[in-house]
Amino acid sequence: MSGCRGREGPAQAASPRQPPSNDPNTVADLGKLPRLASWLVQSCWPGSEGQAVAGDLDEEYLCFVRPQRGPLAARMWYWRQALSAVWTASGRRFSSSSRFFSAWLGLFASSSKQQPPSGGPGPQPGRSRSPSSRPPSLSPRQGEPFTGGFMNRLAQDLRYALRGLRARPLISLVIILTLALGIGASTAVFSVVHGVLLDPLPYDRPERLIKLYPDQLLPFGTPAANHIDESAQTFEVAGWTRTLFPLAGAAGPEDARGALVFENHFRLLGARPALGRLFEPADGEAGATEVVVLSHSLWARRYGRDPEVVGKTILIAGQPHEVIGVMGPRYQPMERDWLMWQVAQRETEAFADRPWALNGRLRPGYTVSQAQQELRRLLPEFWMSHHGYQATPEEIADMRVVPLRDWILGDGQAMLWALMGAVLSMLLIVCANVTNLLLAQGNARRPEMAVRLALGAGRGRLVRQLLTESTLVGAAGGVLGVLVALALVQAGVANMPPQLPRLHNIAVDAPVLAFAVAVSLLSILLFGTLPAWRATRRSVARGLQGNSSRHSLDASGLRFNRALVASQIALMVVLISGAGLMLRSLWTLLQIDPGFEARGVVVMRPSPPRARYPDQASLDEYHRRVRRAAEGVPGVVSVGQIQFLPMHPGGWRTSYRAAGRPLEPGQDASFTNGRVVTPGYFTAMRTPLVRGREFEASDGADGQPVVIVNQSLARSAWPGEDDPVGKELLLGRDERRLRVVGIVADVRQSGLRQQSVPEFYVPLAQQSWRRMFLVVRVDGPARSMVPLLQQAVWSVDAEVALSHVGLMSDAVNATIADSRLLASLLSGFGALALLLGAVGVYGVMSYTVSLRRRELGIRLALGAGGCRLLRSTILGGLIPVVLGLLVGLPAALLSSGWLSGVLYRTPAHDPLTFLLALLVLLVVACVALYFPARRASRIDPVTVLRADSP
Amino acid sequence: MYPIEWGLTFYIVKLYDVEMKRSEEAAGEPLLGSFEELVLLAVAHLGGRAYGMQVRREIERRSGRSTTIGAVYSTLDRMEEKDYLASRMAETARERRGRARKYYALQPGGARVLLRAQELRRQMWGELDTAALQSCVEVES
Repeated sequence: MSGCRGREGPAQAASPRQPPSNDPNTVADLGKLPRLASWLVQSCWPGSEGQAVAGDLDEEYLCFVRPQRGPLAARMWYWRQALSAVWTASGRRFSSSSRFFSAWLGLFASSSKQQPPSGGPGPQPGRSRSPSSRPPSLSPRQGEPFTGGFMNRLAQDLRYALRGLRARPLISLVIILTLALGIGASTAVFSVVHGVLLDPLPYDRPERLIKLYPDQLLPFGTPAANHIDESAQTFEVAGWTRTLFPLAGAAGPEDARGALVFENHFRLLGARPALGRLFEPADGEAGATEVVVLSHSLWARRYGRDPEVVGKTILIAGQPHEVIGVMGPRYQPMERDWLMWQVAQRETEAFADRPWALNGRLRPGYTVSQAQQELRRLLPEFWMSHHGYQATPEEIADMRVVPLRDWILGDGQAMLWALMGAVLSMLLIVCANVTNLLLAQGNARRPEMAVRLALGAGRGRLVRQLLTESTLVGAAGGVLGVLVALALVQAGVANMPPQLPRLHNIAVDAPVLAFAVAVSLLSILLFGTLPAWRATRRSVARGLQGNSSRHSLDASGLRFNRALVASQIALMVVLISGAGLMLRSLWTLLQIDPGFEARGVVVMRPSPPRARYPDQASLDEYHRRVRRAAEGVPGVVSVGQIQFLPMHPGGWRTSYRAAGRPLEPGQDASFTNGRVVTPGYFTAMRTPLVRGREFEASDGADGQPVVIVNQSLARSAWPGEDDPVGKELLLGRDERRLRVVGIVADVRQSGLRQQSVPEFYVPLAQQSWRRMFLVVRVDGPARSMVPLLQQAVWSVDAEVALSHVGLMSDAVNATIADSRLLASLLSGFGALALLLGAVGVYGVMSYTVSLRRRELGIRLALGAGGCRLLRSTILGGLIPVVLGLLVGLPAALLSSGWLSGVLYRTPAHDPLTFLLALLVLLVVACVALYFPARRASRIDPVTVLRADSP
Repeated sequence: MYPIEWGLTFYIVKLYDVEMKRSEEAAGEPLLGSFEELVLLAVAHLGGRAYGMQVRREIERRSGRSTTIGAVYSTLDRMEEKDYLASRMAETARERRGRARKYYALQPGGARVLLRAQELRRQMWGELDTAALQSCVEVES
């Protein structure tokens, strides 16, 4: 039989709309079946039935639905049917397997020791109601009563637990939310720890990779790097050096950051490209085609993910370079903002004096310390043979070899581990709190448990019941916690400090989810076991007295609650003192005067290309026009330019001495940092001018060479002299003479944490420079001025790339962002812990008071004053708090050592902070105790005693 | 999105369903669900020609109720497990792309339970006055 007509029975004949169908049509239509849906049905439905169901769907679709409803509606019909079939199938598959297991377990249970299921709520599986005449089989059919198997009891427990949660919505909600916060926060922090610290670096055998110190300094110029490359036995090296790639083209001018690297850079790391190839030895030879590799982000942003870009030639600074490869999105560059790599033809003249940073890979069988020994032998040898220079012991001590991982992760490690510790102690506090709540709940449910025990339920059965309840709560908390973690990670990664490497690697992925599950299970174990054990421990007789439990003080239960409160308080001391230390450190940092006022300053750096501005005259003209254009923007107060901004690495280093003060024999030359500025820079930055004057337009190329020094330089060059203005400073080996015209305040150039060093400034007119930062002080909201100023700069020349566009305050904040983040996170955890702790203390005290109602009532009736009762209740409640403080203080002192790496000018054992933390905790505990205590003092003796009378 | 969580939720809901059904059935003699009754009746009507698609269409044609193939198969399968129906795999057709049909036939148990359902209805209706119900509907509308 084939074709639609074949099986048209009376059912179809009755339908007048039935169109005639014929074979050729059907065959042609076979191609138009929604194959995916059909396949889904067939593969999801168990066994041969899948074939039947999918066949039915195809048949009906082709013969009836499509001709009647048209292709689109028919397709939708098919998909609806298919999805519902898949859904039903999944349910059936599940129930058949669960039936199998329950039957199996039931059989197992009955063969060993079948306990009559008792004490469980709800209708019991009636053993008398045996199935019909069917012989017993391993897979009992649905609808048949289960024999009291594991699954059956689990189902019972779950059902009862759900009912219990519904019956106590408030407390269940509080528990679930508390857990969600605890689990969510720890999962979020773990996702960062995992992504940054635990996940191995995406290189080949990353543990064998090393970094050579000193970092990017002249000791590793090209000849030295080559020497080490050729002679090292214990390791091989590959050098890199930062650079800027000025790009032009349809996507607009841009300065892409990146690196010049040895041809073996990628090979040494074991990196692979996503597209094309990486550098080969031939690429590094002099005269070879200049080749570059693009980062994934640059490729996506600037080249629109075009795979054809490999093999194309792009212009860098006007010179043709061939793109040979593109890296993958997860590749970890040496510095995170690198967008391009170019191979360095290091034999050529241009690279003779380049300082290199050297990566290395240990050769098999050698260790880091052996590599360090070899470096400390090779480099001084080289200095001796090439420069005739004997390395000093300090310089040799500076030659170090560290694992590459440590170099990449840097200070982030200490901070992240501190965070992880903090968040885990918060999780413990959460668990303690939930335990307390469950204990109180367990007490309230004692009569119920007693009845069930009396009716013959085994204690194990009841414990399991209670554990099921806490598991359900824990699972709900865990699921919510994962959502919390997702939100936190999403919000957090955007606000992470730039010092943290590998931010792109942070994600809530499988290992993190596994951690969330593990943490949830662990907390369930922590908060569920003890309350379940205790709640079922009561003897039947005592529990059945019901109300009578209130009359006697349940001493052991209370002791346990108090111990929990004490441990909670101890953990809180650790958390809050840590938060206090971080806040104090942040405060110290914020109090630092950087030597300028960052608020209201917009910065950017135009890069006039050499092709268009080849000489000093054209460059000077360009800079002048840029300044004038910026001054013309409404809202601009003052404009200046500087070679390297504060908080930005750079500057040139040179030796100096004051004229008329020759070096004494044996005295080493002092070094200082110099920067090029234009008139107006100090005004724009509001760097205080201590003496003399700023640069003026008259300090031109043909005028007398002038210099402005900072206070440190003035002090060290002219010790004991008040006013060096007008004196002469000699710079460099050739002792260039410059007249000091002004003294400015010290500026923290390389970050708020770094001390100022002697520095000098020379005018742009006397020292030409290509890439000058534009510094613009504006009136009003600075951020909205950024695009206007950008337009102004481009109005001078639209072909010039702009980089470092932004606010000065952002740059300053970035240098302390890690402290800020850690302080805010720790204070957040601390505040949460404080709240939870207060709730814990409050709960236990309330419970104590409710137990002691009768005693308190009698004491009031006998004439005790309310005030006295209040005091004694609070004092009694404070005992576990003080115990917790006593235990927590040493623990906090010990653990604050972890923070010492990230604290700024704050001792890790700062007594004031610890004292304050203790005080805060005491005050919070007293407040939490006050409310229940007041209730105790206001008990109406008459009511209590009357309720008590038989 | 998170298979573990979804799985867990599904598992709990399913257990709950199974339990509810079990306790319902524990309350008395097994009764046919209304959809089960429709499916059995459709199979009875179709005689030897009852397979999934035909059953679905028969129900739709007679009752005006639109159903899904998944629901029909799930019920057919359940009825078979209870020995109300028997099935065999048989011939195929081109538009089924070579996949066999699964034909169902009513068994004595199924016939018995259908008759009992009809009897039950009859008993429950008893001497109930249809006119009174009708007027009740009219008052409402």
